[in-house]
Amino acid sequence: MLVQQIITGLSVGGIYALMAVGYSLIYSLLNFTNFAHGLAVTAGAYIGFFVLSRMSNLFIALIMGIIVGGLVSSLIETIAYRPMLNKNAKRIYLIIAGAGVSTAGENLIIILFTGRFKAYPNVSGLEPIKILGATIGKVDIIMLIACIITLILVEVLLQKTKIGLAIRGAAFDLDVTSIMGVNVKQLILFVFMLAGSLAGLSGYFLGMKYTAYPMLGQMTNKAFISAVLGGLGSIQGAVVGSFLLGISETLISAYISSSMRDIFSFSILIVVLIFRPNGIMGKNVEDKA
Amino acid sequence: MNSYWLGVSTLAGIYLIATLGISILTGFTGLFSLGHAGFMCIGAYASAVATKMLGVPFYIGLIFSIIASVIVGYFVGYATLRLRGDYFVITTFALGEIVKLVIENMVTITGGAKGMPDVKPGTTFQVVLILDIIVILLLVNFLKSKYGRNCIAIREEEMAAKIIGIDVMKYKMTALLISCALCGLAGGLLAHYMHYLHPNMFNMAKSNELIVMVILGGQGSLTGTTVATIALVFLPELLRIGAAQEWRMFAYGVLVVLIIVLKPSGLFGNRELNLKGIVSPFKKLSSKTQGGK
Amino acid sequence: MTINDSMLSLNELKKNFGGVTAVNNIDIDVKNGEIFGIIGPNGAGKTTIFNLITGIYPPSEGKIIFSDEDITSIPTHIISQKGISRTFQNIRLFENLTVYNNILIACHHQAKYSILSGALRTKSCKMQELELAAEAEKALRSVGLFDKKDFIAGKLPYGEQRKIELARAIATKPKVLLLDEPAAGMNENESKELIELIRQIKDEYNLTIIIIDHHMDVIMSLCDKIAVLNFGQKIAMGTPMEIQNNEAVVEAYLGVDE
Repeated sequence: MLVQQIITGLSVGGIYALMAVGYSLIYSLLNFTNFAHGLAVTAGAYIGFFVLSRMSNLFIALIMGIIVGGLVSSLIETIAYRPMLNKNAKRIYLIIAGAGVSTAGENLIIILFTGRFKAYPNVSGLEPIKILGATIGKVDIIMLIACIITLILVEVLLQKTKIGLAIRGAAFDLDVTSIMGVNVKQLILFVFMLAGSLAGLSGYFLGMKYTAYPMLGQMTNKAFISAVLGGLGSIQGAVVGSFLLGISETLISAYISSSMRDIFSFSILIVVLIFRPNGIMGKNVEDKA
Repeated sequence: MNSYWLGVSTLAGIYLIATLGISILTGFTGLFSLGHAGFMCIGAYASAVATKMLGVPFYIGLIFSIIASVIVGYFVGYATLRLRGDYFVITTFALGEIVKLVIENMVTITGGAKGMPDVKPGTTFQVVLILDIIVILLLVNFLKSKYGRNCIAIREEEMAAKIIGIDVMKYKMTALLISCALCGLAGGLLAHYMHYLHPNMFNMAKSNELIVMVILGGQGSLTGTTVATIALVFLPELLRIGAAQEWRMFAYGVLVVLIIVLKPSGLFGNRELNLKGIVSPFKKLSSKTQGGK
Repeated sequence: MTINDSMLSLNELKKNFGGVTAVNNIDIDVKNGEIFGIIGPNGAGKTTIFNLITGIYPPSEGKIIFSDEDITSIPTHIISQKGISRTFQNIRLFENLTVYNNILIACHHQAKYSILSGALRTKSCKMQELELAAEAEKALRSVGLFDKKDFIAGKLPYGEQRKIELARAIATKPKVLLLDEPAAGMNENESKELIELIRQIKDEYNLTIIIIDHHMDVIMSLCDKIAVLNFGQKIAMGTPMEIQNNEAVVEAYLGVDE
């Protein structure tokens, strides 16, 4: 029973990690919280539903989820954020704009697709299997593996490629990176696309696990919490925080009560901010006058 | 006055108290909150429960509203005001959610997700109007005083504010508590106006609506907040869009983005309505026509 | 306090940022009524010292003593209230506010009325506000900007913005004034004006002044004593005469005669 909970917790954590890494990348680079991140998640979920309604190909649906997520995120960056980034606007304005985009987007989805939950059609081959005497959803395991693979790929991208180097440099100091010859505008767009793709993928998984619905994007709140828990500004921290949150949420839900789950998660956020605002692996930055 | 429009006016007056409070926090001190509906929720339920279970009269219930909101606000502020602006936004957002969840879970006292019916009546248009006037007068004085100026200084350039001796934490807390008190009061008034409470009345959408009213009106302008609040409460009624909440919220979202991208200072910027403001355009006009001859 | 008493004293002050030692074992003593200069190449740690004094971040080691009181690691606003004021290298005005409001805000500590008095606009509040207005006017007149008081601060020319910052700093009625590159961007005439202005407000407000700058004419004519920094360390200290003839200083730095 415990094993089952832990595996479920890990798979939830994996999904959170996909969202949290994307969110954390944008945060490291531009120093603001992208409240519109959830839209890419929701987009991924809905695309998955639409593709699977027409064909039984899980893989194509997955790819489409990734692509659409990336597109939505890039679109948001171009329309809502870039004009302000170009003017070097105060970060608080970006946050407000993101909240506006999020509200508009959620409601647009309700207008276009109604607020009803869209359950993914049943695809064969996904019955639960037995490991170590516990019944574990094949879906959970596949998702967990997919998440882990994706996260490893992202880490490889960041550490071993030229663009990853540019991202890490820009996360440290955007202006210096620009002076070094990196086209920062393109880099920002790329990061949004990357974050959106990860979000789209997580949306696809969420849609499969639960259903697709307009407020699905609010799952990114868990991404924020995970990122803060792990330490804002640290990608590895976002991953660690996500798995920790996923597991603890699942355990609380199973052994205490499911209504306490969200109260727990949001309270963790406040507790972390009070006692250890830098999170588990975060960095401390002092302000130069 | 037709009782339907009287009702809408009362509602506008109630929300105005909340948005004026948020204006002090966001517009004048520069702290952005995504969860202030949570403080309205606290105020609403505090008064509803107090009047129901302790049998206190309506006015005392409102005092409960204010005190409850301020206490919660104090703890939130203590925890997060010394952190960066981002953290504050996330926390207020989390708070809005937590409050809703907690209320939903306290089923025996609050009725939880089934709602709380039979809340004592007490809010009338006259009460709201009087409170509006009092709040506006107090806030105008506050802003004219050194306390208001220091909040504005913090919004403009926090480091410089510190260097001239402004205790930034204290002022941010002051602004926060003012906004909590006023949102709590508004929540209480709402409870005794609707005679019914449900946690969904204070969700994320509501917090967004409140913020839109402040941003649209113009950060740093009480006049702007007032105009925007009244407009945004009356407009859906006048245009009968009330039917679909999704359309209204979609429009709000788009509106926020447009304002922030195109004219972040909002409709009124940081200008206030005053005698000079009304008279001087006329003076300019008359001198132009004379000069043109 | 008499003329020769120590007003501000930095003892074995050290500051590390990650792996970089920005300030390394600095001992400086500034006497009451002195104009003390700190010079050195860019990156020598001068502004860091100002930041340490004003509590923007704590030192890694060492102490800061102000008028017999240890003010190390005390919050910035309290240090300001105790009587240390400063201007910034990159001007930090309230750009969107009027010149007058920039100064008026800085006078706040002289009014003691409570929030409630403010909200009710009591007689005491109104009277104290009048006093603040008078103080703001005085500071503005000292720097010669009273007739521009209704201009938006951010729209004025650079030189005048520096004056606004100066007026703001003295409006807090400090005992010690830290000036961070007040002559930056000024030509010879403006520098001469500045020298006079600084002397004038020093006398008018009875100040002790510490000044960082690269304009040697300003430093040499104003300062009673000068400390020279390089790579976070003090490499020389003395009167302007002594510094100008100091080999180590010449080697490290001089030649930037503007």
